[in-house]
Amino acid sequence: MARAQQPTPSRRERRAAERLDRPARSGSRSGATKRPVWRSPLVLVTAAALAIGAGIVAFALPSGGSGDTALFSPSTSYAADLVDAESLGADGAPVVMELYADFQCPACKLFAKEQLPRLLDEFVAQGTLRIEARDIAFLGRGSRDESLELAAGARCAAQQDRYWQFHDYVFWNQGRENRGDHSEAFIARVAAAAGVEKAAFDGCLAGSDVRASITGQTQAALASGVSSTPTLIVNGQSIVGVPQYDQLAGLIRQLAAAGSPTSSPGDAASPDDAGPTNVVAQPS
Amino acid sequence: MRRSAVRPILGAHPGLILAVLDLAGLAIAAYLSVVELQGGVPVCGPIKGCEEVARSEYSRIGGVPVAVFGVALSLVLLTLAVAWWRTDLYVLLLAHYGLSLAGVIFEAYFMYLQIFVIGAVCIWCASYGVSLIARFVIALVVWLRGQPAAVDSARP
Repeated sequence: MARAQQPTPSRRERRAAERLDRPARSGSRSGATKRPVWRSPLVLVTAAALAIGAGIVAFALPSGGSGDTALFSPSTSYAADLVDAESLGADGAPVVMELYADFQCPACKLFAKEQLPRLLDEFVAQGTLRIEARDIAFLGRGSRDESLELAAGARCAAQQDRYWQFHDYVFWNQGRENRGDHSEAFIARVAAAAGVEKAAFDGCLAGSDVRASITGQTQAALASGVSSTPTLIVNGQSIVGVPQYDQLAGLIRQLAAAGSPTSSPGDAASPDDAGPTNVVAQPS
Repeated sequence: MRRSAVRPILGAHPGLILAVLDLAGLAIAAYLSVVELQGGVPVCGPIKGCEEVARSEYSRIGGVPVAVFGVALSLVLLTLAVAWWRTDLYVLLLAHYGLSLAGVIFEAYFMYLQIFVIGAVCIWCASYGVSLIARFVIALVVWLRGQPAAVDSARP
């Protein structure tokens, strides 16, 4: 029996016919063959993106003091001939500034970052000013006194004439107060970054003398009237808190013009001292 | 291969808008990368904070400045945006959406670090973050409103 020969439909025509046979859709995601919501491309891509984002964040998290990550790098450099343990500047400088600071004190950080470099350039390098660091530890709490540990680290760094580098690295990377941010690992990282020789540093820290000396210095400072940090004693005149730089610079110029220091370094921290004259009081 | 019927935004193809935002992000990230790799710090003008952020340990991942990853991300996003603009293949838009979302998550983390850990905000980084959020939102909105009009491309 002869059959009428029909033309073979093209692929496009077959697909069009198939579409007509399907149940009616509204949009591409509804109807009898609707995909579960969780299988929609948007949901799947969102989930993948969230996972990737979280993975990147997890990878980027600092390693918690392992020493693998870089610290803030202080911008100040110190000429070796100006550094003598915890002192900075020429011996015969007409102005001597004692700097009472606690390494956990945020205002001390501000002073260290904003004003110390300017003092260094404008007065210390010119032989006008010598700065004597007097680290005290009075902010520490709990079983591990982080202020004391940091000050002890600084004193051990001073034995290698790396005090100021250690000082700057601590303040540039200062963590939260008494929250464990200034761990042993942190101090080791700071010391390494400051160029301190590790074996001697560790040996120094292992001894009890260094902490006793910081504790003694703290008690002496408190007894002499230093109750807040930073406290600057400039040729015997006390400045509590972070001063305006111009105010401080003006005082240094005035004292330099007047001649030699009126008190020798360290006197103000002595319990026998009547205490410095408080000429400026600035809230920190 | 699915193509989306694209409705213009402000008279322009959204892919073109995404490409412009990607270019802006690329310029910011490239500037930060060059400065960081040369050991400098970005210029912030009267707005402080760039130096602190740039010198923080969080500004690098595995020793590589974060901005370098921003350059790579922006290049990929720019390629996707231009390709989508030229082809209307919606999978490219979806890829742009996904990658920009991953970037937004990292930016959110980085902004948290700047505000609560570093204590300083880098305006360049914030600008890059804003551009990334804009790209993510545009890609999402375009994808959502383009879905009902999706059609199969006719390829023999």
